[in-house]
Amino acid sequence: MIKLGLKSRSRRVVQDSSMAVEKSKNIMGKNKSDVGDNCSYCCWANLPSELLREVLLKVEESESKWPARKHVVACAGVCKSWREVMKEVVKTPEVSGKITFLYPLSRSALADDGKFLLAARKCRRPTCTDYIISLQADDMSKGNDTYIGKLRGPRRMHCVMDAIKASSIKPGGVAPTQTYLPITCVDSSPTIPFFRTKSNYLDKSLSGPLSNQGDNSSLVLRNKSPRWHEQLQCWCLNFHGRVTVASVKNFQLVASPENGVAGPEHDKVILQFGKVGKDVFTMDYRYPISAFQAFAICLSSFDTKIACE
Amino acid sequence: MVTTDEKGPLTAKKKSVIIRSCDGDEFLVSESAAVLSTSLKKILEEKEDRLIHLSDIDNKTLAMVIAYLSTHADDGLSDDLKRSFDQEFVSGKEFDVLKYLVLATDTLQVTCLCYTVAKKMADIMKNKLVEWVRREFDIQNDYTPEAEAEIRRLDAWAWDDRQLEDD
Repeated sequence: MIKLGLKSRSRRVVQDSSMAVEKSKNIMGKNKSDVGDNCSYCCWANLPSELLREVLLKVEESESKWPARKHVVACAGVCKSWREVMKEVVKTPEVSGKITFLYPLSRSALADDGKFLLAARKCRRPTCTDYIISLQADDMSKGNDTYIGKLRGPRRMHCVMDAIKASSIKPGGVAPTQTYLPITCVDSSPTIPFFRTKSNYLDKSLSGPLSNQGDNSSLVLRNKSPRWHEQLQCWCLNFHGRVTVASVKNFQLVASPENGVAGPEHDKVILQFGKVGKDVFTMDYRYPISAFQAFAICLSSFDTKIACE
Repeated sequence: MVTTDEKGPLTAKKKSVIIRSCDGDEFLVSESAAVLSTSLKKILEEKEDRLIHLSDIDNKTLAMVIAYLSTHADDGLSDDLKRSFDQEFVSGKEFDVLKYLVLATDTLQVTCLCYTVAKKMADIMKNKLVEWVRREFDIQNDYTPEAEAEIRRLDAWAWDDRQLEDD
């Protein structure tokens, strides 16, 4: 007869039966003579860490879709060791594409697992609104090293991200690593709205001498056109579960076709932003835009609601 | 109590083993089912013995695990059927029962069942009060009241509208 007396993987032992009873008493620290009426081997407080990890991993996995990953945060609040496990289980947003521990600092901030990403503070000016974007939440001063940029959001915005070539989304295309982001704004016309639709893009390119055509043309993002949903009787965008609250701020941006010829790369959502709860939004971005660019574009929708114009 | 999942007489091809729970009940299990457990497989490879005693799995839990193993060892069942069996298997089970199950899957090293049970436990844990979780897992809260308040303040969005259950 063979006996298996186990508590955790690290202590797994397989023994011959002759020795097993005595040994298992030692290992388990429990008297096996009362086996039968009381199988109290299960001391839950000493749950093997691999099992705990497994359960918490399932909590994490099950919240791959938003609404906000509350349960992950709640589990981290149980005790210190759970928080550590949760931190391990939650992957960095670059890997998982999820941002979990959001810290509502100043105007907007993004963080993963307590790891803070970017913050912005809103500065109202008479004619426009500035957002100071910083790598640090508690230091928004402009002279500081952590200051990385500013977004100025007038009613209409002209935002040129000329470091990204339109060809970057083609196979083999590249986007340069950006050291700064030139965001210029023109308050009055003539202006090229940043979030332009395909139709007025064409108008502009036909009627006006739009600079930078050809190989060096800039990547232009446009709103993804919503579909009419018959059952809901409204215009819908598919956010794949990442956005749960209807809001004018929700948007998806795709690359605008350079010459009006749309390829499959123009269906790919490059940036999406949307509401999941009171004052909580998700942001998903991908190549070729950077975190800073994505964040700045999303911030702009707070002020101008330009995405819905 | 002896249960069998073999319909016909034992043949050389379909060998069986007897597994005894910690409270003495014995279960007759086909070898094809038993070897789905990595632990049992190792034992069977090393020993000729056909009686395996599990000193830390009670009869109720063992019966459930064996039902699971037997179903998954059944070549006649499609993967879809097995998947729906898995769902049925954990549905409606008390958290306590799942705790014993997940420990048993750890002991026996049945990875796929471990995942299924862990998933179910995670589903139950959601929307429970942190206090509930601490009680169920017998966890000592090692946060100071200040530290806990700070955590809740920082992630206020996660705590605000949780529909908490404490049952």
